[in-house]
Amino acid sequence: MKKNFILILSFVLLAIGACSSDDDVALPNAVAFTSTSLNLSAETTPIEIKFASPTAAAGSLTLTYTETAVANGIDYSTTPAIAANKIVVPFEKNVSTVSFTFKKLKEAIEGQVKNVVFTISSITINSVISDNKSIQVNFNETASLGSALAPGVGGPTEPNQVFVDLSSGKMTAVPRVSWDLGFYSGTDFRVIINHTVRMSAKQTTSVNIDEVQLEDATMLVNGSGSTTQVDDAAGDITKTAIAAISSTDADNKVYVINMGSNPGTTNPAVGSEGTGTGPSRGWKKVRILRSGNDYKVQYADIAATTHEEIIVTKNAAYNFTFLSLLDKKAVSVEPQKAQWDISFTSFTNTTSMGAGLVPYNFADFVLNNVKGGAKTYQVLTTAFTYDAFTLANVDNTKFTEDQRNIGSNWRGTVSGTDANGNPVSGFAARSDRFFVVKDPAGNVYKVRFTAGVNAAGERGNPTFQYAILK
Amino acid sequence: MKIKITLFVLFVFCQISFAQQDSIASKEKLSEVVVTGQLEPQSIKKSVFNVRVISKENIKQLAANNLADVLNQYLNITVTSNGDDGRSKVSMFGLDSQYFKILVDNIPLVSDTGMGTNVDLTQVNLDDVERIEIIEGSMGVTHGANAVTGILNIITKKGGGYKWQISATVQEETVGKEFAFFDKGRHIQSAKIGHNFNENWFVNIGGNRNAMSGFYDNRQGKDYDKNDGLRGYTQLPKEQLVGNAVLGYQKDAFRIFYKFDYYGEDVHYYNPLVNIQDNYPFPDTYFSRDKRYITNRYYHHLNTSGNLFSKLKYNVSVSQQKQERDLENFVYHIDTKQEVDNKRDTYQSKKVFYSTGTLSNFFDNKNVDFQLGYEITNENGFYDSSVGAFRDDNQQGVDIRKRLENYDIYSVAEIGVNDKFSIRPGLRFSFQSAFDNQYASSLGLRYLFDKGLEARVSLGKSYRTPNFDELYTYFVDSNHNMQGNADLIPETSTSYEVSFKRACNFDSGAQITNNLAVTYLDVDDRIDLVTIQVNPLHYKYVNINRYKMWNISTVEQYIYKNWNVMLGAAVVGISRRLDLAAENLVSDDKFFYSFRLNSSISYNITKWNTLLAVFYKYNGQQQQYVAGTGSDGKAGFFLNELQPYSWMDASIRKTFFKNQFEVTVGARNLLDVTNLQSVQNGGGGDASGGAHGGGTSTDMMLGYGRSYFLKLTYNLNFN
Repeated sequence: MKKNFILILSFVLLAIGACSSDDDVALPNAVAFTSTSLNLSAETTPIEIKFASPTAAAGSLTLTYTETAVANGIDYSTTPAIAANKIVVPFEKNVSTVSFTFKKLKEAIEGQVKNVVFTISSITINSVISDNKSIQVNFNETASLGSALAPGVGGPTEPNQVFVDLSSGKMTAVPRVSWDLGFYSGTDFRVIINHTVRMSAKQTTSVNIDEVQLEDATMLVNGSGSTTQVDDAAGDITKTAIAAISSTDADNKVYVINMGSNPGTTNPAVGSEGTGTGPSRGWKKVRILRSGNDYKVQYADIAATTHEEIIVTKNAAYNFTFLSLLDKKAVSVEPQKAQWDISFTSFTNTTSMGAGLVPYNFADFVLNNVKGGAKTYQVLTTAFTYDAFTLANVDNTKFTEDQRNIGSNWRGTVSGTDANGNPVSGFAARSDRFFVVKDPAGNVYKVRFTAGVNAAGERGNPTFQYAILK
Repeated sequence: MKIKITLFVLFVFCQISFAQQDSIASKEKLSEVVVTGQLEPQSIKKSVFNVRVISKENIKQLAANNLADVLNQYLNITVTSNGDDGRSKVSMFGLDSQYFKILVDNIPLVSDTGMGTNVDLTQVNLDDVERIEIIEGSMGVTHGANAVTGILNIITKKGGGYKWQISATVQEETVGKEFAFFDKGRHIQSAKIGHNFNENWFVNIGGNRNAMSGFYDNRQGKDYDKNDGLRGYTQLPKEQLVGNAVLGYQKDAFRIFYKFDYYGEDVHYYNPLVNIQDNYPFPDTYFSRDKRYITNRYYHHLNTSGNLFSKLKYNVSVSQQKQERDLENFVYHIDTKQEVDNKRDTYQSKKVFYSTGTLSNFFDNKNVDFQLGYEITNENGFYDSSVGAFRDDNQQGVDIRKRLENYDIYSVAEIGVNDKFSIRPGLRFSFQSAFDNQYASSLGLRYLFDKGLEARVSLGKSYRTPNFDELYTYFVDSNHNMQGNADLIPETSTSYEVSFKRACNFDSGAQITNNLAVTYLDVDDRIDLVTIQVNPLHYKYVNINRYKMWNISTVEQYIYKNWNVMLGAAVVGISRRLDLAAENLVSDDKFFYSFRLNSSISYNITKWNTLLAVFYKYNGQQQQYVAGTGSDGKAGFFLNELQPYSWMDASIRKTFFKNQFEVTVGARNLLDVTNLQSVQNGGGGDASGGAHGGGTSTDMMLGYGRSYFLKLTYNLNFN
């Protein structure tokens, strides 16, 4: 009997032993500046230092500094003050950020290069000093050395188009439905249709704007439609759906405009996008003529027998002047043409549905400002890692005249099914690549996308990081 | 093919005598008592139905922990397993698990979508099983809806021969080549206790834990942080917990037992998609949105049987079953291995009240018996919109909540014309809440010839009720139009079987049993999703297709001294007529034939208390037409071929210390089959789909390859 119980006992032990194990890993804290450069605008500026997790104990950070054409006490001062060529910044227990104050004592003259670079040299608690261990504080407007941004596209229905200027870190969000036509400011007389709302335009044979037109189901951008009815997806201004505006009025035909669709009114299922699931934006007809160096636009509802007219003027500081046919006025959309590099939006791209290319609405798309001179190309991490990539690695031959070089390439899907056999929502930023962006001023940045969804998995929440290449 | 059939028939008749059709055999078959489809427990020989039995001994030799492990070796059944979730379903004669009914102690087992149908075989634990009885063919009269290709009844153990029976088992298995004590392989622990309080009362309690750590294959597990599609598992890890208890009382002819079963399962889904956690200015970390599928199933069964007014025999079962499937979504941080944002919801649940009962022995006559039976099913189902394409016109998910009821009555008579000849007519009428009322009928004949030859003829009818997808699918938007159909009628089936059995005992102690069966089955009004309008495309579920099957099978068994050899073979011919409705296309309904073979050999080395067993099954090539879109963009039918494969298991079992300690070592899938090749001539719908007459070949995952197991069992029986 005893032998039996020993056997039973050994079974019990085996059973307990066959449980799976889990082990926790404790990580040391990390500390870094929140960005790598900063342009002074106010007199006093707090400079923030971040901890990866709340501090385990009170302590202090020691910073060193390097001055370029400025001197402590004359051009600037800090709080805590510099002593023995160091700043010691104390912090409390259980804090996530700490800052010191930079006070500008003397303005710089425009064009002068004046800055102070602060570097974290040590910390009293167990902590790693991360990559952003330095910050360059600029007295004048200087191209950003890099940061992390989260363009406010507005969630899964992506109501906004967001224009981003990397060198200033400035983002401009504009509702996608705020405009309908864009009038080119260059020497050509060209008109684009809103490429963010599934819009399309079809030439009629008529030159009479007051002639009644009909809705045309073949113009719907939903995987059918025709590429001749949308603007060139690459961004070539000479290949717009609306023909070049002729100086001969009789050559300028009436166009039927399918105004596309609004962003969805309800949020789609998590992981899906609703950029074009809202109600139709209706139908219009337009006829566009020249008016000296400007444009004269005649427009009306398709069934109308009368029309309205508006003059749209060219403005050379911008790529386009934008017009809202619904609000009947010129509207501000893009920043000045040298002041944005990339934009986040849904976009009427083309795709193959088996029988040639057709217009197709892409959500979570990134366009570069090809008309303003911002160009991009993609680098796979198999060629270079993001961290190791420098200006010397930039291949200028890879910049092309296509506004879609980031496009939808930054995001991807990993296919698969879950345990119910349902397809897995596979939307994610691709970590196997990053992009090189050359802005209109010639600054070259590397850009890596870190997310397309928020913590809840909803699309239309992109984030990216960038750093200047030197 | 013709040559094959001829050879096959020759092979059958060369045996001269006819065999016992008991595809996986056991020694004690001559005295075997069966209950499935019987008026009362009786010897397998007297049964009018051709009942196949899988004995406890067979289950032991296969070291089978669940039903999938054991049915892999059954002649007419194919076990299809889903690589993603590791679920296994039954397929018989080319019809899926919706046509085959699985019962536990004569009570259909609740599953995701039905009662007894669509059962995940890996969820049926075999720890407390006494034997498994299978009847092939349409059994609508005794077993109601969906018993189209056959039924499988698991008879659990009740009571025992000793005052105390204690047993504990530990089983360690590799998953393919993968094994480690914690993170890889399959680890099973179980324990059972049986106790007879006195000659009337008994109790059995058992528990089982089965942890399968997933099949990695080329994947990298849950803590892999690269976004290249390799995170996670090829087959998902899962853990199953089973508990059961039986309390019983018996005195003279009166018996009552209450049985409780609990089944819990936790399947872990690790998303291949790895997300970056942007911690700027700190280095990125990674997280994934993972899921956990949790199933809980409770089974209560109260059964009583005895005599009424001294003669009348009754047998009544009342059962309540509940199954809930929950989905827990959470975010898994790969660097810290922490779960956050856990959110758990029930996405599917089913509550069933079921009762069945019979009254028999109305006449005090040895030759004529008559049985009246009833069956009541009341199912309450809840399906979250994520389970199927259940949407409204605004593309929002619609949850489905439905109650299905049926009240059935049936009667069966067994008329012994003389000692040798029995006739068994039967009729069922079913009052349905959701469909038209249904009926089923059956007729069985049995004749016992001299010299051990038994002949049986049976005719049966049954029906399959439409499932939730077929009834309630709704997915209509600008690009899609796919609709279920609430007006569907149940599919109807008819089966015919003629079988011969013969058992011979020789003076030398040798036993030969032979069995030959010929079956014909047809299913009409089969439901399929078809094009009902071409432009624009509208799809709808309708009763449209037809299926016909005939099968000839034989099983031979030889027992001599320590040898036990079984050999089975079958040829099955299947014809499917597919109708594409608005496409105006109907497929060729010619019969495609396939050949199957199964065999088991065991040898008992009595001196060493050691039993060696080898199981082998061959599945021949299977062909069928499938609907598809050709390279010209037109709908059509394309030949699909499933390549042949073989399955082989082997084990060695040795007992020590007067059978108290039992060690089984063995291997499953010895031939290391991992993929099943399916070749299709066109119909892929794109330009590559056989545009130039070339076939496309796809691999279906069949298993994780050769695996090994070691099972240690300790039995302690005392009074």
